[in-house]
Amino acid sequence: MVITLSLLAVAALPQQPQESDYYEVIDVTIPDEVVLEVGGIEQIGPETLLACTRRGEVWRIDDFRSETPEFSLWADGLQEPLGLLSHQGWIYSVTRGELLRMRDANGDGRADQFRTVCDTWNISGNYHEYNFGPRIDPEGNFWITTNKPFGGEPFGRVEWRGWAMKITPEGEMIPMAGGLRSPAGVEVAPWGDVFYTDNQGEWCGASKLSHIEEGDFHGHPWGIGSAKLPASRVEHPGEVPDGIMMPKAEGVVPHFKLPAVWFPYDKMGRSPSGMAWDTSEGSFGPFAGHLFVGDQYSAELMRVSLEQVDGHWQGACYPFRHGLGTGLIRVRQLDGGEMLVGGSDRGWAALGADPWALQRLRWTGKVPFEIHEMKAAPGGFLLNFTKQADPDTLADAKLTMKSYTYELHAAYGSKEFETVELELGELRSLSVDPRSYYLPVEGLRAGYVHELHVEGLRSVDGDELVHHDAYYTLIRLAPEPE
Amino acid sequence: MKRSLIVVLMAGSVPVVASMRAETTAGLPSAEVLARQSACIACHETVGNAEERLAFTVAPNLMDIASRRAPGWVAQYLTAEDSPHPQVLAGNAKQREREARALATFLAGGVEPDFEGVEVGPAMVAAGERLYEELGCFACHADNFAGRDLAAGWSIAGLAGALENPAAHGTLAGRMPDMQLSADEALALSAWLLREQGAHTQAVEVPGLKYFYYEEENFEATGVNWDALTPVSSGSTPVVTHELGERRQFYGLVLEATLEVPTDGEYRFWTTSDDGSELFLNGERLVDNLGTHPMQRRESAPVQLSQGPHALRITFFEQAGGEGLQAGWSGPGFESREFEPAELNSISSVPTPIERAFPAANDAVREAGRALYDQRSCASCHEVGAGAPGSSPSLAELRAEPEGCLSESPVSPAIDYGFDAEQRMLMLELLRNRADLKAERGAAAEIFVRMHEQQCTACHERDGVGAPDPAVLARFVGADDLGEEGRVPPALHDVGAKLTDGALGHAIAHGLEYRPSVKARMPAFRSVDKELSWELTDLFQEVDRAASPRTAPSFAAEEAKLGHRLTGTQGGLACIACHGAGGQPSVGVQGPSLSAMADRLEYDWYARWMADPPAMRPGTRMLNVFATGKSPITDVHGGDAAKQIDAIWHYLSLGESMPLPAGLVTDRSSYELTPVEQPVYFGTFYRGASARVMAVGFPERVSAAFDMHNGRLIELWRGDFMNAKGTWDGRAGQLESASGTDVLTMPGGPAVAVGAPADAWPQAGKEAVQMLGHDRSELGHPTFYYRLRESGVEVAESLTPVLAAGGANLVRRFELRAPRPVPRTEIQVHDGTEVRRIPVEWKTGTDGAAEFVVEVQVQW
Repeated sequence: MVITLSLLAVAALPQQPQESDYYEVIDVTIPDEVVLEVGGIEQIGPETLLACTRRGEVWRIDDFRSETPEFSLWADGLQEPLGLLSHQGWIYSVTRGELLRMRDANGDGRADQFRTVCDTWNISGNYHEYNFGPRIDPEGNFWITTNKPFGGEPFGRVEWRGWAMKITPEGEMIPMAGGLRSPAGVEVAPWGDVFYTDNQGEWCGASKLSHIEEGDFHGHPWGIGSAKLPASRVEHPGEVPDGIMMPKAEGVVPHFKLPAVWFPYDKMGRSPSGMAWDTSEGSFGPFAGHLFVGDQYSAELMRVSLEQVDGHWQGACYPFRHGLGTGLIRVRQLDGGEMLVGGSDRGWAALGADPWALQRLRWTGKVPFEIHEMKAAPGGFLLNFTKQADPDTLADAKLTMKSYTYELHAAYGSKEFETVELELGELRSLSVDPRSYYLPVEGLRAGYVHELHVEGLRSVDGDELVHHDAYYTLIRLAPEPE
Repeated sequence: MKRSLIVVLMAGSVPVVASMRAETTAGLPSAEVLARQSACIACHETVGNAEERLAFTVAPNLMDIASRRAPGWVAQYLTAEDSPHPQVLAGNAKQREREARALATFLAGGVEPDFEGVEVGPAMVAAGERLYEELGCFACHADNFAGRDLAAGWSIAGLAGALENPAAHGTLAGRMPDMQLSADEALALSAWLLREQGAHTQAVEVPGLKYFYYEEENFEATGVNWDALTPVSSGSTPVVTHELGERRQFYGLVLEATLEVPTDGEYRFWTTSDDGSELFLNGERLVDNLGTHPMQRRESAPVQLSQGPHALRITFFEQAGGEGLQAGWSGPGFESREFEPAELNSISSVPTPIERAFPAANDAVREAGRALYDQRSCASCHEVGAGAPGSSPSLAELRAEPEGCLSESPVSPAIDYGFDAEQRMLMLELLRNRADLKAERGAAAEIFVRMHEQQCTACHERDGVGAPDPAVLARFVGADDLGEEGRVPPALHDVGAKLTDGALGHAIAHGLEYRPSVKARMPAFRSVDKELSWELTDLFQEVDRAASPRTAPSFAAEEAKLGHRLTGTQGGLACIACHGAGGQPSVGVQGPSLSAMADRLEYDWYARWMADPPAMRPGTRMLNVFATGKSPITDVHGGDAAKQIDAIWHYLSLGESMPLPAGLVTDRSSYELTPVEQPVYFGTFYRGASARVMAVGFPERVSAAFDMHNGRLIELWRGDFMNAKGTWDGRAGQLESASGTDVLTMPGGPAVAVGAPADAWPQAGKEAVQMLGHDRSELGHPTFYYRLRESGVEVAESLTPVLAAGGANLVRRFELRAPRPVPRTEIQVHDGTEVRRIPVEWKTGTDGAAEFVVEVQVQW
């Protein structure tokens, strides 16, 4: 069954472009008797998926693009698996207690071999002790992230909660970075670097995407005591001051890592989770190379562009596609460029009509008029649009920008602090690409989100912007040209 | 916007707020708050609206202060550098001290404080500290009364009484709102606030027995060494009883008292108990009723006793099963009966107020105090029989100059309020603009003044005014993952438009508990000012309400049904993820109950809130379901947001009688795991084992739980397999356990060990055993693989059900491999009858490795 979610089209003014005009959402129809609280998804054949669920089941879904996909139970009994990875004939998953691999050796349609790859960490029995991953890097190492407990800790504390782990093919666990809070998504970039998403809360003032490097401390002190164990690749940062502006924290807290992208609360979801890079080189529309991040609360897929400035990965996030069936937990790109998203609202309320869902996002072939990329430039930003702007509207277009940052503190979540409205210069067309412009900005601040709002701009073919906002996390200022 | 610091001076009261932050757009209301709190017009008379606008709360009547406070404390209170009382004393330190002593002596009037003793334990003190934080006491009293020397001024019982009913207390009446504390809460808070008295106890004789309560997993039935045990709690009881602790089994008691023997003569003692008890008199055991048994009476031989006190001690323990304890005696002139409370006394040590040195009173000093009392116009603020009002200039006569009370260092008879420069400036401005005081204060300014005066602003922000200090903010206790909404009392922007008349008035007058996660308690202000609730309600409404608010649609049952669907999980918006209803908690975080909303909320506000919650409260956790103006539920009113919001309103208006939304209460049976064709595997936290357990249920209706963390079979059972509700419902994370019957628990430790001593099997888990994984056969039967870390012995342990008369059994098959034979390797199994050890006899396999295979059928 194909459902085109055209809610927005019904709602708004006829001229206003709709997300659904460019990206249509197609349900993978789930049989009534299957509770598909998606924790992980993987394509294992041209028409075949595996999906693991928070209930510990792994479903094989054949003919997933048909109106009546065939669901069969491939495995059960895994303990809250939150990711799947197909690698060298095995299916890898991480559960609360172990990174394991499994396969159907006798070919009867059910997994029969389950092997522990690594279980060097312990769990105490707190519901929040989830693990996310695994993803695999170019050297064949697996990456997982571990969630810290939340609420009461009736069974005491265990080590290595709130960490990013590299696990060698031989199963050795190497704790690479600490201070994570609720790292619901971990992904290896096409160029081999590892990134993760974290959910705002204590010691994590705003949801974020962060680059993981060996030795990083990402800000949450709960589990950082494990840094004193021999296996840790992180030096203990000492006491973390409670209540310090993020840009300052970098200089004060040893090894403190600022994010690549902050997702401002409610403007860009509330709970970022799984993610996938668009590596299709165009089959998913004009955003090849961009990162697509799901949100467990807002049932939307968000878009991120990254660049390395002064050695730090940073970039902007943009609204992309709202109105998905449920809170998203996983995002994977399918052969042919479609994005596959799945999730569940169990325990954490989400927008969306369904308690669980598995859906495909397909580019309709029409190019939306969007802020394609916002990039740091000396004294301002470069703005690339997906299409050339209509010169007549360029003069009248109203661009506004404000910048703000967050506080590192123990209380749950952070407001936006030190908000300043910025003075903008005139948008200047660049000769290299007719879709590119330079926006001069007075008072850029390193360590601040720069929130851009664009009104009144049209493309040369008369389209309005589908989305008017971009949020650039300016950690490093672009160096002046020499 | 101007930020000013206002020192709140509530003349004469004890627990005073040292400072609070206030922001205002106009200086006048701030100055008015300050003038009211300083009771300016108590001395400087005025008339008309100005009198109304600067009205102050009358300070406590000091006639009976001596019954509540020791004179030493009063003197210290007046002289202390940081005393909340305005400085009314004059001269240098020595002179001031003399004046304070004179005033305190005069006020003491020869009356001794009436300090009733009460017994408190460390648990009560700890509970008090917890309550202080949970209830939000720190919002007004951020310094925890540091330096106030409460321990010298109050008795525990006296303070508890005052907190429990402030309106009836001479000092707190009219100032402290009623926190609606239970007697236990008030006592615990007092015990903590006066914890310093713990080191100043007094032995007091109380009627009844002193008891010590113990919890143990086993009591030696032939006699308990009580001295070796630590009591869980202790206290007093008027009569001998077994019901003095939480537990109903595996507990013990020791009861002690002084028994008053009425006359010389022959007495007999007895106990009746289930299980064992003993009775001692003067250290000698007279009754031996030990052993585990049903209610059983044992009586002593006759003993000759002299009139007077004798030391009585009774011990008692209860293992499992029935329970009970009685004890008594017979003697000259009375038949056998239980001890009566009047016959028993015990000594308790109770904390008492700490005494501060204070010279004995004499008439000359007392007279000097009386004179000072008049001279300093104390009676202007304090209603007291003695003393005359002062003769200060009226408000109209005062010059707007930095002089008198407003000079930098006020000299008696002016009063030193400790005003800082900014506050002096505010007061001078008030004097300059005093003509304005003739007008009525506008509603917005009135709200500002009232909220500051009643310290609403200690917890509640309103339109940028007030709001707790960040350090205070951090102390509120509640659900962390709801952010500040889950901990901090809400801001009051728009509250006049938000709440119905009844709800707003009731909340102010009687307090409320509405947000389940917010632990801070809204006090009842009725006890401070009976008129405050309706006056504030009117003011809030006047300022906040739109001229013509939208009115609620009239009830339509069909719409309520749609609303019912929309709040649930089946084709709804799943409001129940955060909101409970009808007394049922939500399935996730705990927001306010759906059942309580319609009575409380104005429809107009509700409709605006639902349409865009973050617009009204940035950062809210409330889902912005209708952000796009459309609902994700498209088949109710075509997804029209406004119509769906109305449908939910119809449903909410059912109040407590609303049918529960789908998904709020999930049927446990829907989580039942029932293997029919294939075994069912279930990974879970498990009661009595690790947090990483694989349970396997076989279609033969026999099941096993295997600890994947420690490499150990935990238990086997028959019948129902398991119910997964605790692991699959909501955020879950519960410990699961076997559903069935015939549970057979395996011995501790891994099944295979090397070199185990004859009388002890190793109990080590993961540190000794590495799990390698498991296989599932074509029939789905498991084989678990693990390796002994030290010896390198690898084990494949498989479980296979076999049908047997009376119920299926399980066969455990062990296949052991090692590069070479490992001497003294053994397997320990429970075969259903007994635990036994199987020595491993290694054989050489085809590949040269050492091997051993054994099968054990567990029959039980």
